[in-house]
Amino acid sequence: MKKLSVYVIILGVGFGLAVTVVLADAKAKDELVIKGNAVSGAGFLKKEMESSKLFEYRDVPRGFVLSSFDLDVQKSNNFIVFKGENIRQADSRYDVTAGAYGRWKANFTWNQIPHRFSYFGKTLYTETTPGFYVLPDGLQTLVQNAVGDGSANATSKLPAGRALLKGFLTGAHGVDLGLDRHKGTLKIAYSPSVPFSFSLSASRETKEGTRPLGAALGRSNAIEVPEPIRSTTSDFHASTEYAESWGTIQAGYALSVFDNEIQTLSWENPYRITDQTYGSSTYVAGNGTSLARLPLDPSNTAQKFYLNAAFRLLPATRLTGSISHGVFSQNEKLLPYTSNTALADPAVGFPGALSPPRATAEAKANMASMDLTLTSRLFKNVHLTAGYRYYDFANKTEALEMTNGFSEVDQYWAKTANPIEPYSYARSRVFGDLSLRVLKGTSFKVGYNFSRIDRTGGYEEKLAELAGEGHKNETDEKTFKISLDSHPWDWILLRASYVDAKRTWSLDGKAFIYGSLYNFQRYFQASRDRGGWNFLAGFSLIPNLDVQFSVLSGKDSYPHSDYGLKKNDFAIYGFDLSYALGPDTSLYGFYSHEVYTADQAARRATSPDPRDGWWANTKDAVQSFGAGFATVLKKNVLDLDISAHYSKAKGSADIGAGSGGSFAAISVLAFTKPIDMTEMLTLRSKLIWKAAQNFSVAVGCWFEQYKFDDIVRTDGRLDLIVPANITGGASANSTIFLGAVEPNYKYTVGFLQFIYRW
Amino acid sequence: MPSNQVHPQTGSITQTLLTPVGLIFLALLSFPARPTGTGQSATIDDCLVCHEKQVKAFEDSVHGKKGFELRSRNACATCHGPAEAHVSSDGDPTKIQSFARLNSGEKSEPCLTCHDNGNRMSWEGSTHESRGLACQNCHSIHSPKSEDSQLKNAVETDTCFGCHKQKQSQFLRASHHPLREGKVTCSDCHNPHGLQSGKLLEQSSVNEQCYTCHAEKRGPFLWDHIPVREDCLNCHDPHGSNHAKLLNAKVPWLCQRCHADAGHRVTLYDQNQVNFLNNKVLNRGCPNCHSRIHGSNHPSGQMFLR
Repeated sequence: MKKLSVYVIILGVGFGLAVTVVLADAKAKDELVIKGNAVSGAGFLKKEMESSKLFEYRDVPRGFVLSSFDLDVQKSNNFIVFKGENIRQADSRYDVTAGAYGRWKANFTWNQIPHRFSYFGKTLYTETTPGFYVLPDGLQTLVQNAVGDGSANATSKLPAGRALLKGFLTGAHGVDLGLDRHKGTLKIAYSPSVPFSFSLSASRETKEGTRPLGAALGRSNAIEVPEPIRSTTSDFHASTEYAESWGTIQAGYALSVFDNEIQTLSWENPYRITDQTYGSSTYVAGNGTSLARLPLDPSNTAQKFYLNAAFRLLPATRLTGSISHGVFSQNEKLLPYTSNTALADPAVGFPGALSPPRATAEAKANMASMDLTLTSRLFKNVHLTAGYRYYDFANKTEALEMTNGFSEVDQYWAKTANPIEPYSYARSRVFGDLSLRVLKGTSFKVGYNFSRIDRTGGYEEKLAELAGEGHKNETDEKTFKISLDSHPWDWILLRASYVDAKRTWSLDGKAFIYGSLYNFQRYFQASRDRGGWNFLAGFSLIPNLDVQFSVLSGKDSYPHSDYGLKKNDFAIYGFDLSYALGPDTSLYGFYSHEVYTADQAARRATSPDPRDGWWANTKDAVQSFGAGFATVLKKNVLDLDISAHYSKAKGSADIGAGSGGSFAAISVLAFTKPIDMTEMLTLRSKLIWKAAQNFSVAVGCWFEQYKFDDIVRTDGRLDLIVPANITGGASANSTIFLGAVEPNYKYTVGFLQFIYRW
Repeated sequence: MPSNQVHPQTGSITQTLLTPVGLIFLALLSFPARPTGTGQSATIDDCLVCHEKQVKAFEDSVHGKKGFELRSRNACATCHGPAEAHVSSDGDPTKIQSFARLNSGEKSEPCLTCHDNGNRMSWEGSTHESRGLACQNCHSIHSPKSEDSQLKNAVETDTCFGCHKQKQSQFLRASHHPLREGKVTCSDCHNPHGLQSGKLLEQSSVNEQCYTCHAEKRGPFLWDHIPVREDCLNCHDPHGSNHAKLLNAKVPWLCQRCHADAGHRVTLYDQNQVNFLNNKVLNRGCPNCHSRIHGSNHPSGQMFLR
C-alpha cells in the first residue's frame, strides 16, 4: 500500500508539472491540440461448451463496457497522452505518458494479466494457513487402519484403503485455479542536451492465485494439490548514455528482487495419520510420512552492472563492445531432510534427519559477459563483421556433502552420500561474417562461427568424480552459414539461407567416449549434426497484390547416441497473400503446413544391448490458415471487416521395441487417441456505421471454437485411480488429481460499440 | 516478509542510488541544447507546395515536433539532402536524393545520423542489417500506422510476422505467451536493431531473458536441473506449442530424450500404460511427482521430488 501511494504521488506530481508545462507555453502560435477517442458499449456472451481456456489470458466483457479511452494533449513540443484499454476488466491496461519531444519523457503503465488454468478443479484438502493443506483426521485414521503397517509390502491391503478413500472423494470441494499478475511500471527518460541522456525505471509486479502442483508421496502415491502463489517482483533500472558522432557509451545498473510470501507447501498423507517407514526402498502408498513438506520458489535477488560502448574507428569501421557483471543470490531457510519422524530412528534412518544440513541455502551465482564486435566496410560493397562473445555462469553456492544420506520422498532413508556440487558453465563464441552487395538490391552473406561450452560441477559430474572418472565436460560447435537476400525490383523479393553445424562432445578431451557399455549422452550436450535451410519468395506481379511463399527445413541428428534423442527435424511450407482491391478494400490470406518429427530410443533396464531397448518416433503436424476482408460498403458511412483463422495441431507417436537381444521382446500397444491434438477456429465480423463526423456505431460478433484431445490430458481425474491390470509396481500405485481440465469450448461473443472521436 | 513492507535491500539501494542520480539530473538541467546545421537548403514551405500530403503527415509525426530542431534545422533536407536544385528545376526528381535508388545501407544512413544510440547502437553488422534490411523496411517517417516507434504496420507483431512466418504460426498454438491477447510483444524479449547477445535478446542469455518475467525460476537452487540452468529452450519453445506449458514435446518423451538409460525412466509408455492408469503418464506425466523440475531447495531434493 505504501509503495502504491508513492507511485501515485510521483505520478500526480509528474502529471501536474506536465500539464503546467503544456498549458503555460508562451508562444501563442503553438496552439493546443487535444485529440481523443472513447469506445464504450455492451458485450454479450453465449456459451455452448464452457471452458476456462477462452479466458486463459483475457477477460471477455459482458454487459456495459468501456473498451478504451484515449486522450492526447499536445502543445508546441509538449505532450500528455493517456490510454486505457479494457477499462475495469481483469485484463485492463492503462498508460500515461508525458514529455517534451527530444528532451524528456515520463511514462507510467499499469498492466493486468490474468492466467486461468481451469474452472473444474476439486480437492479434498482444506487450506488452514497459506500453503498448509489438511485432511480430516477421521479419513486418515480409517485409511491407515485399512492399509495397516508393519508389513514390508502392504500391496494386498491397498485395495481396501483405496476403496475407502474413493468414498471420501465425493466430498471434494471446488478450487479456483488461476492467477493474476498486476504490474505497475514507471519510466523516466531525460536528455538535457543532445549527447547526454539518462533513464530510470522502476516496476512492481504482484502475482496471486493458485495453480496445480504435483505433490507426490512417492511414485506410489501421486497427489496433486493447489499451489498457493503470492509473490512480488520489484525491479529497478538506471542507465546513462553519452552519444557523439565518434561513438556512444552506456552504463547502467539493474536490480530485481523476487519475494515469495509463501515459502513452504505442507500437505497431509491420505494413507497415514502416523509416520511410518518400512526401512527399505519399498514404494507402497501405505508407507511414509503423515505430513509432507516441500519448499516453494525461493525469494531471490539479482543485480547487474553493465557498460556498453560503440566507437567509430574509421569512417566505415565500427567497434562495439559490452561487459556486464551480475549476481543471483538466495538465502532462504532450508527445510529438514524429511518431515517423517520415523526416519530419525538410527536403525532405519539418520538421527539428524529432522534437522536441515545447514540453516540457510547460501546459494549464489556470478554471471559475467563480454562481447566485442568489429564491423567494417572493407570496400564499397563488401562488409565484414567479426567478434567474440563470452558468457560465464559461475555457481558459488556453498557445497554440501551430506554424507549420511537423504530421504526418498519421506518414505525411507537412503544411506548413500548425497553431495551438492554446484553447476557452472561458460559459453564462448568466435564469429565472422562477410556480406557482399553483388548486384542492385542483392546481398550475399557467408559466415562461420565456433562456439564452446565448458561445464563443471553438477550432481552427475560429482558422482563421476567420486568414481575416479574425468570431469572436464566440453561441447564444441562449428557452424557455417550462407544467405542470399535480393530485392532488385519492387515486384520481387527473395531470401534464402542455409546453415550447417557440427557439435562434438568430449570428456577430458576425448570425443565420443560416452560410457563403458553403450553410447549415450544427454541430448543437449551430445554430439550433433545440424543442417537447415529456409527460402522466402515474394512477388507483386499485379499492382497491389503481394504473394509470398516460404519453405523452411531443419534437421538435427545425433550420430553417436545409441539412446536418447537421435533425430529432430522440421519442415514448414507457407503461403501468404494480400491484395488491395481498391483504395478502401483489401483482403489477405495465409496458409502454413508444419511437420515436426523426432526419433528417440531408450534402454531396457539392466540391458546394455540396444537391441533390447525401445524406440519412439513422435510427430506433430500443424495446419494453419486464415483470411480477412475489409471494405467500405458506402464511403464515409459504412465499413465492413470480417476475418477467419483456423489452426489444427495433431501429435502422434509410433513406438516399437527392439528384438534380437538377450531379453524377450516387449509387447507394444499403439495409442488409440491422438497426442495433444488442438483445434482452434475463430470467426470475426464488424460493421461500422459512421453516424456523424466524430461519432460511429459498431456492431459485430466473434465465434470461437476450441477442441482438444489427447491420450491422457483430457482425463484430469479426481477419482482415486485403481490400476486395471495390476503388474509389478503398478499394483502399489495410487493417484488423486485435481481434475483441472480445460475442455473443449464453443462461445459466441457479440458487441455493440459507440465510438466518439475528438 | 509481509508484502506491504519495502524489502530492506531494495529500500536502501534505491535511496542510495536515487540521491546522486537526482543531483546529477538537476546539475545537467543547465546544459544547452546543441542543434546541428543552420540550413541553407530549401525550407519546408518549398516542399509543401508540391508534397502537401507528405509534409502534413511529417508535421503531425514526432519528427515534425520542435524536438527535431535539437538535431537539425534543415527539416526535409535533413534526410533528403539539399533541395535547391530540385526546387529550382520545377521538381526534377533526378535533382534530389531518392531513397528508392539507394541500397539498404545508404537508406539507413540518414536515420543513423541521429538514431545510432540507445537500443540501435549495434545496428551496423547486426542480423537484420547484414541481411539487407534498412530502417524503412519496418518504419515509416511520413505515414506511420503504429502509435509508437513509427512502424508501417499498426501492430508491432505484424511487422515481425512479415518475414518470420513460423513464429506467426506458432503463436496460434494452444499453449502460447499472451501475444495475441496483446499482453506481450516481440520487443519485450527481442531488440530487432541488433544486440551483442545471441538471438537479438535484450539480456545476456536466454535464461536471463526468461527470468525478467519468471523471476521465481532464477534461484539459484541447492539442486539445479542442469539443462534448465543452461538453457530454458532445452525444454520449452517460447513462441508456442501444442503441448502443455510450451514444451517442445509431450512428457514423458521429452524427459526420456535425456533420461533414457535406467530405472523407471526407461519404461515404455504405450497404450498399455495408459490402460494401466500409470500415474507416470497420466495428467502431467513425470512432473506429477518431480514437480520441482526447475530446481529444488530441499536437502533431499536431488530428484526434484521435493
